[in-house]
Amino acid sequence: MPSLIPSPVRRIVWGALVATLAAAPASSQFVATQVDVANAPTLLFGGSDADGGIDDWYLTNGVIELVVDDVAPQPDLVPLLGAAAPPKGHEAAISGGSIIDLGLVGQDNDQLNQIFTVGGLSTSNFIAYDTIGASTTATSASITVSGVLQGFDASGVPETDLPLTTTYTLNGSDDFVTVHTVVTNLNPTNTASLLGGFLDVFLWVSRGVTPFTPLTARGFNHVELDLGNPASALELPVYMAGAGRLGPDDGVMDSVTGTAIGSVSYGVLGESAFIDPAGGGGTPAAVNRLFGINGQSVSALGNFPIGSLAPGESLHYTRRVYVAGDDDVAGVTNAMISELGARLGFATGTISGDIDGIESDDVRASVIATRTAGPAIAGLPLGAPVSQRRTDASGGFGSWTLPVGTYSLEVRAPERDVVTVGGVVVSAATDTVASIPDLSALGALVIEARERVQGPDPSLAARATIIGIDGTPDPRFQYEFEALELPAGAGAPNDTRPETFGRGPHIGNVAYFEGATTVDLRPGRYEVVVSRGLEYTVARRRVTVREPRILSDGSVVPRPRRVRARLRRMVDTPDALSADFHIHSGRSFDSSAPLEDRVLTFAGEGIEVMVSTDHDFVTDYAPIISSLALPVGITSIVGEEVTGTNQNPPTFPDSVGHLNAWPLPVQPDERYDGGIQDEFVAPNMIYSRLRALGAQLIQYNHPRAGVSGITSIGLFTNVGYDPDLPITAAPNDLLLSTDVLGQSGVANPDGFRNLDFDLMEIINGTSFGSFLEVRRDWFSLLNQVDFLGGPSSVPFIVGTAVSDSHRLTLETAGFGRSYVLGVGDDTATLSEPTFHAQTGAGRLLATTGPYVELTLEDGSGATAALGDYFVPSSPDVTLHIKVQAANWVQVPQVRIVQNGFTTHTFTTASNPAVRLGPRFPWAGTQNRKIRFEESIPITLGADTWLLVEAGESISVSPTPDPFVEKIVPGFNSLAFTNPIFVDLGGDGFTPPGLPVEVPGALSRSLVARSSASTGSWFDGLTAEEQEELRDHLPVHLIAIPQAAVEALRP
Amino acid sequence: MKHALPLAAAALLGSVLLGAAVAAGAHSPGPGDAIAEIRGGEAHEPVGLRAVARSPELPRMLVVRVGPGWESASAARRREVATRWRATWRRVEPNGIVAVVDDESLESRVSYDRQGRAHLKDPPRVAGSVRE
Repeated sequence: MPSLIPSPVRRIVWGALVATLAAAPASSQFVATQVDVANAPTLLFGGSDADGGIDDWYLTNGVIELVVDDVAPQPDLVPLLGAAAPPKGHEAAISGGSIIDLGLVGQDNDQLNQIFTVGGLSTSNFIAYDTIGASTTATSASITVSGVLQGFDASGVPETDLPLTTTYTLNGSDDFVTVHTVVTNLNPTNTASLLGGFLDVFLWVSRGVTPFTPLTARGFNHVELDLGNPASALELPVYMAGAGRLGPDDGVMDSVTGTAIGSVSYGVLGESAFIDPAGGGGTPAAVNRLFGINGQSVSALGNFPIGSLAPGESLHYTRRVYVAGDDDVAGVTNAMISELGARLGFATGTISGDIDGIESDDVRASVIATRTAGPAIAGLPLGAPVSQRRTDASGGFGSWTLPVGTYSLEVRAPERDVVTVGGVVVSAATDTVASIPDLSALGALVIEARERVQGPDPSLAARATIIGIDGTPDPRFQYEFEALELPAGAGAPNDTRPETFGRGPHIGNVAYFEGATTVDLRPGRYEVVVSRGLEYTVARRRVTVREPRILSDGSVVPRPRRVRARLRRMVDTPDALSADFHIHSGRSFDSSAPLEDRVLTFAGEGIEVMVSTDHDFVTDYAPIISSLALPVGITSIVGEEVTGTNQNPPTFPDSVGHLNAWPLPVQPDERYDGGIQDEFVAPNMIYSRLRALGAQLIQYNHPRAGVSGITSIGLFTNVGYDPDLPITAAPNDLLLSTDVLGQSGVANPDGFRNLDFDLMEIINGTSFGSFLEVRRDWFSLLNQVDFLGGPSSVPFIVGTAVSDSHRLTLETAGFGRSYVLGVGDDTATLSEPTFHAQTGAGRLLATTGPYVELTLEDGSGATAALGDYFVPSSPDVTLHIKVQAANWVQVPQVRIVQNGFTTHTFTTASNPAVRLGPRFPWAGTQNRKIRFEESIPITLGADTWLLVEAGESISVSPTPDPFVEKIVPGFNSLAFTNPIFVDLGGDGFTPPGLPVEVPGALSRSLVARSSASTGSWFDGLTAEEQEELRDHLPVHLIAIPQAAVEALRP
Repeated sequence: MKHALPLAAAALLGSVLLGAAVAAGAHSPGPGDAIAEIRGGEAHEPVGLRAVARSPELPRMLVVRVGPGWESASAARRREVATRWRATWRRVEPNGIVAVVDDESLESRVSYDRQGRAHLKDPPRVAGSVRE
């Protein structure tokens, strides 16, 4: 496997020099320059994906502004490694030099993750840029990056023979970026096989922009990308477009500046491509059709492959990336259709209209135009959706440019019947006013949540789940357009449930609110379940929602139905705070959740401490929490999810995975607001960078995740950690390595090993399978803890539970969560240093539902708590165990684990027994909250670590409870304490060694699949695993078969 | 400077105060002193001591690493020394723990009873073996 790192990194000074000499004066509309300390406050702009910072490169023509990430080695490794220092990069690209921020000047509307380019037909044909420069003229501004193209060694053409240059140019007042890439084959004899085009890769991950292509049965729908059969996802659209999902109504998205985000849409249109023969003289050919893979997870689109690149030849490709300030496809298709009309010779006109509902003149809606008749246009087949327009808040829409012809308009507004209007004629240079009948009416449901206490009931932040009954469908709040993943083979389409925002966290059939909220929904019968996390009862009500009455004079009389829920706090959590150490917002590349809504969802689930962990971004929720002024106690700590994305051979053939760190400082002018570089280095170097920023806690996340993200993102999966082998045996011993890259021969300057992290996610979400798998790894490490220090010593790594919630409702906030003990009960007086110290010491309960308390007592009355190191007076000790649970949380078992094995299992049939909860999970009674409260005597024969688990059996896979599924989809009842280490004799803790228990239900199979996999990648996976794989395909493994290209060749 | 002390007097006073401070410090030995004392004992009566350090993860634990010389010393000598190590450490760490481990295998070589008396353990198994 060739090195993915440009070799050597040859950052040439001319780039900066050119920038200095050629950058236009500040008064010019054309600016192309490197961002520095002085100009950063002026140049850097906002948006949910705005990542650029000092040392990156800024470009504008006064209309568009963009940031290209810097091309340079990772600076702290230069003194250690010299020219071998790996490059800086962003997300999926293997070097700097790609567009990472893109928006309109003054709009703060960057919602683009990244555009990176590959050569030929495979996304693993990376470009390694090593040079960057900038220039301006009187009429344009450009950034130029140069490097080499990898991936053609099999043709006998090494990367050094394929020099490549990409230029990003903003001309005049263009509303698009012109991107030109040229690669030359310098090899004297060998042809670079299949190097006849480029693909621009966009990562959407189903949670950001939804791509739209004007193809029959496509639009927002696309064939599922199955890496076993990528050809099925090939498309040949005339353009691709998509809109960001966030806008000004979503509130502050930059908590540092307090600014909201602007709406945006992006589009891609080909321009020209050709192979220039040796000596020149080639002629550019128009590119009016894009070619490549297109799907909800990723798009990889470029020019149709021309052939192969012979010695001396150069391949040129020029395309346009459009930007508009609208939150719909039409924002960019207006310009692209006009451009295509000029090129292909068709005329255009416009459509406008106003959409009302029966009960309202103001209906926000989405309209998709499908061209059903008209003159033939190459690449735009009749019957294909051409564009999509979103109305304004009053229902009005206009300025919608379409090719002449007859159209069918599909009008969709959340909770209203879909209306299709046919026969709408668009004539040349004419505005057609479409007549659209009133949409079906909405009813209203007012939901109120209060805490049931003595005296006046205070309001609560809560969640309402609304389920249609008696034939009424479940609501789909904010479902403004349908985006399906069409199966590559047989099977039903997968609805990606696009989330759009702007009216608070009412998504799908869930509403989060504080005190009370009103939701507008389809008239019908509903069951409403109001909940507030795992400490509270739930309330269930059944209601009929009626449409408003329309009087004879046309006036509207609303008839809202009211639901009052009084929830009772059941679980006592003295001297403890609930925390979620893994949460995402729209500041992550794979999330669109607004910051304010994010806070409300966690408050509604009863989380008290939010640790911000956006992917490669440092987010501060404190100003958001402060501005919301919620009556409930919630606070935040600033952190980051360091997101290893790239393959990193040879030591880490996959990524180093994901890890969270906190607290971290927000540095607004730095890349990622202070987030660190994390690619091509070993974990120990990441620890050095995080500790230098002040991180006190480092948590390795989902260590057994498989093909998720751009490559496999579970460290233990990638290392191949074997829980049956000691830490000193291969491959486990890689965790003991201090090498800064893996095999550089240079030790970590701070002495950190790859194992020197503090916390480890044992529960991520509510997944049962991953819990069992990671539990086994954790027990393996605990069985080797010796507290001795030294190069082979295994530290006590604290186990945590987190939600890893990316979306407002699909991954439920705060499930799982960690209770940190000994930190008081009031977030207002929380001492962060104490919180960090208690967390790091393992004073921590991890849970999705049961609340477990554990103390250990010896014969002298001395006691130990979670995380303690205890020297008892004799081997006879007593465990005091108490398990509480809300009425809706099942606790089938309580277990004592000693030295990696379950030694005691208590059930409802054992003696002592676990108490059943009430018959009805929605009961309001408090007399069943204590499920287990016993003192269990144990005689220890050796040094022992002990912990207690509660919840599902580990012998069989749990059966979902249909009612509980409504409160927390995918819920599994899981909880464990951190261990108490008992040192008999006070002579040091002698670890028990291996092996550890293998749970009977452990059969999870989701591990990294090789690129040699044949057949569907979804075969044999559970529904949960399939969804994970759909969201996070390893895009570097896309390879379009040549036969598929030939089948499509016009 | 109307009331300034003569320079020599000031210097004398300073040295007295400094000496008092040093003396006061000498009466409050810390972990470093205890570690130095244990290390120093090896020079007089060798028992195969290899290294002495606080546990980086559990600061109240003192990790004493011994080599092959440990098994060469007489059992009585080893018990006496190990008992003294614990007493020395507990002077500065009242709840202190002393882990005497083989430097190669990291296996414990000594256990202590409630009175702090050392009891010897069997020789280590082959280095690198998996504990069961």
